[in-house]
Amino acid sequence: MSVTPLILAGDVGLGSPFLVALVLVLAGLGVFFLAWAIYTTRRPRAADRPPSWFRREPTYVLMIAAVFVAFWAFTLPFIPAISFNRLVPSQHVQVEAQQFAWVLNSTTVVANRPVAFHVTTKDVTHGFGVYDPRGVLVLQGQVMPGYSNDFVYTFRTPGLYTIRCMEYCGFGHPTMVSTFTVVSG
Amino acid sequence: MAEGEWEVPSNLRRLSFFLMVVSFVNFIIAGGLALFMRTDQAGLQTTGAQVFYQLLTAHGIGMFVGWQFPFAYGVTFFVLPYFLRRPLYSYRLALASSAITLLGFYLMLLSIAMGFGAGWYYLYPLPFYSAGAWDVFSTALFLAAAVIAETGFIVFAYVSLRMVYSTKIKGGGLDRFYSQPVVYRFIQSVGLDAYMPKATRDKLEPLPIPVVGTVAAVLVLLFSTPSVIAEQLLGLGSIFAPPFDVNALLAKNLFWLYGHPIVYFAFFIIIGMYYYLIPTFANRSLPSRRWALAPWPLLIISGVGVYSHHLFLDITQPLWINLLGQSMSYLIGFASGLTIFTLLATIWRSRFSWNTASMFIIASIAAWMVGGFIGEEQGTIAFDVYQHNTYVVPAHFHFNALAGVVMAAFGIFYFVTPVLLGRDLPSTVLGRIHFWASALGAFGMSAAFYALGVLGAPRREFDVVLQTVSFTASYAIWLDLALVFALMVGIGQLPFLLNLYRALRPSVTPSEDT
Repeated sequence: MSVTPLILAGDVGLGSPFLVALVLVLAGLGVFFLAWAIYTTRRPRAADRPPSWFRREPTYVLMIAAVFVAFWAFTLPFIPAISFNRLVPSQHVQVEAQQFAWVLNSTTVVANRPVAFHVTTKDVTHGFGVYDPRGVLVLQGQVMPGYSNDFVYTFRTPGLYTIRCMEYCGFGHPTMVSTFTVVSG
Repeated sequence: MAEGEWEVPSNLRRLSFFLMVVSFVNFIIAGGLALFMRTDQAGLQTTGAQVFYQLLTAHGIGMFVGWQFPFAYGVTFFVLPYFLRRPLYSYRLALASSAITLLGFYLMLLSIAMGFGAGWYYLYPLPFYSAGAWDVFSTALFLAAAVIAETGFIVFAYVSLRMVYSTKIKGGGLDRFYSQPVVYRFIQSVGLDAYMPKATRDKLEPLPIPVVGTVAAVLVLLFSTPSVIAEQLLGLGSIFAPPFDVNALLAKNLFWLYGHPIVYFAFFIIIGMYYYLIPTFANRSLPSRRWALAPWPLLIISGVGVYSHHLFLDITQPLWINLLGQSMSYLIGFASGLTIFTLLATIWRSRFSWNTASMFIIASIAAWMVGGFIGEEQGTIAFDVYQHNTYVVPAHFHFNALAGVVMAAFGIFYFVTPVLLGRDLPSTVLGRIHFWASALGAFGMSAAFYALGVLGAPRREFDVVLQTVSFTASYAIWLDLALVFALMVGIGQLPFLLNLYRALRPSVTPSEDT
């Protein structure tokens, strides 16, 4: 089997579980520092002078800026508009969206081979969301009217995948669901 | 509030109080509508899909316009005169801006009652493809009403900026500030003096930071409103001149160039107030005026620049705009971090006074951090693939807007009521019940939203759990929990209303106000 190219952040372990952990750590730290600052008010200081750690603010500022720059650079290859170009699709699926249905010209895709979804819409903006058999959202993109919205992905796990409209498109929006099958290649 | 050298006239205090009360009434109405959406999603199905989407539209407009603007106007009409120690530029125009905005808002609600249900952000061309749910007349009324409300925004911006920059208003203070050329007044009003050498800064008369916050909010408003008016006029044009068409990508850019910056409108005013309120509660001065001013230019630039994150998953959007949007999302997180750092240093080992106002303010800062970090993840394009249009988005902005901005707004309301009304809200106990129910409900509901989003549940669905898709069954428990917490927020507003009623009822309102 050929090496599967890495496409999106989830393919390198930076999907939802990582994002949850990151938020819990960062928000936990933030709330901890707030709670700590409040806790110290139990022993108020007489003088109206800033805490000693406040003088180190420039250092903290540089550290946080460095983290942001690192994140910017590190996640760059996984931006869909960039990562899709790394793949040469060997399968193509034409998808037409309309209120309130998906019409696919093929409902079978072979795993471990890049597939391009060429998604157009007959009416309003829809959202092309693909869930794997366990219900994990693995790919999504907006379907803008007047354009061919092309999404490229390599599925690794065979099974029944669900397409769900992710953008509110009218009162029948919740019924806009379809499926396709990924077969092992 | 400490006695200023200059007292805000009673007509302005009344206008300010009235607008804040209107804003909270609109908040409770828009929140009440949301309770029906929560019961729908929890499987109780109190409405049909069509009504659900009308509620979705009304809830968004109710909060963004109906709650946010009267509150922000009310605070501004008090804060600017109080801190600048001069009368409002024009009381009549202040009144007019409020009336026009509210008229536009209530007409928008009318159009929704008539059937319009394309969402408060009405992504083009959905308003014109209703699949029979609403007619073109309600779409036209909605767009025209929005233009009316936005005309009110511009009048408000004019009054506020004249108030800050004009040298023709006779007032009591800040003589050195007003004796400078307008360029210097502008530099100070947006916090750019923080980046100047100490010798220059020492010569300046300090401008109170709540004024800087208000200027930041007004500049963002003024910059973003024309784009949405253009978008709405394009929409009206396509109704009344049918061959005329609107490019969906252009319209989406024009809308979000307004739609995201505008959420900072009340928030920036509130951040400005944090710099006054936290030192007041902590009974000490800010550790550094320079660090308190430094975030403002960054907040103004990034407040507008972040808009493109609403188009991160539009493969048709030029990549450079999205990369700019990601950078700006980081910048606003960075500037927010600077602000919170200063606030924490102010609280640290201070003699902090706890009351209903300070409890609301502290809780709102916690929510700002939690919601902010969730926002930073969504502001990263590579991560947004897993979060865009899922419940993580409502989690982010219910932490920030409900548990953050609205809670801070309640804190400000409890704080300024004695000054505006001449007396406190009568019951401390009712105030505390209001705080705990609102805080626990808002944090709990937002956390339930986050869990839903992590599971991949899409937002804006009448039926989130689908019988035909087995994995969606895992969403149900969190939708039930979200309903419980939403009810908690809703019930928590009853003690507030009771307290307000008791403060305003005729028997305890002698004619001293006149």
